[in-house]
Amino acid sequence: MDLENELRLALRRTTAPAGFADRVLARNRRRRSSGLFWATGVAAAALIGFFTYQRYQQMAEEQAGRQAVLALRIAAEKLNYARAKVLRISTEN
Amino acid sequence: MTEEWTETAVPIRVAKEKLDFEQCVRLHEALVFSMAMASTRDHAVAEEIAQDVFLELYRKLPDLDSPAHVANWLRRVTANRLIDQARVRQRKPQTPLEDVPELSSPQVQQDPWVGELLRELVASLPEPSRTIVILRYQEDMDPQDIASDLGIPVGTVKSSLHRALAKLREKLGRRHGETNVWT
Repeated sequence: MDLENELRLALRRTTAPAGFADRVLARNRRRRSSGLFWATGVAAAALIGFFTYQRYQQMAEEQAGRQAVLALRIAAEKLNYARAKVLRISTEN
Repeated sequence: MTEEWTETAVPIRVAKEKLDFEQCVRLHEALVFSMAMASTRDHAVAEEIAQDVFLELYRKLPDLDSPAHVANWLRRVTANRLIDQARVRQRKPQTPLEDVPELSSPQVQQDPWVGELLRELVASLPEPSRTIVILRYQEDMDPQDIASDLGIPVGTVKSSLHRALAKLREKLGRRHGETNVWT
């Protein structure tokens, strides 16, 4: 018996199981959907993070502005106090 | 797009064929499943491997140029996957003989006992000999192409084939209880 010929016969292609292609397509659709789900989640988390950071920056700037205004007010009051004292001294003299 | 050179040496842009995934699956399911079944002799494992190969094809499809390219890619990926799988998975045939799938071209007759015995013996070969035999006798590939697909020297392919055939003859001889029957 010719072994190589018998091997060719024995190893002829078999049909794939019924519904095989449909199962592959369904699994591929599920995999793509879950991939899209995770990608959307990551994008949403990135956007939320970005806007949160922006708001934090804005609040920090506002806080810095308020502190600057307060510092100027304190400096102005001290100047007024000093001016008033100088005027009183010069009036008394 | 790919370029083709005419006799006048002017490149002509040839549109790549638009390959449809579903069409590729239906056209090549027998090729991939048969290779996996010949290697594992296990229906469920063969289907799992075949499905994985096609899912990988989906990602790769934009890079492939033609249906022939797809078939070659599927053979190569399936062969390498079978070799890798054999390293981690022990062969446990679980498919009863009556559930063995039908041959896609049954018109050529073979003694069913001989056929089944050969399939079992091929599946019992160590890798990569097993996959080399499948590529040679199922897919009718020549040793040079097998070597290229598996990334091994052509000399290794030829010696693997030689040893595999010798082993198969020996085992068949023992099963038959005869010697020198197989040529």
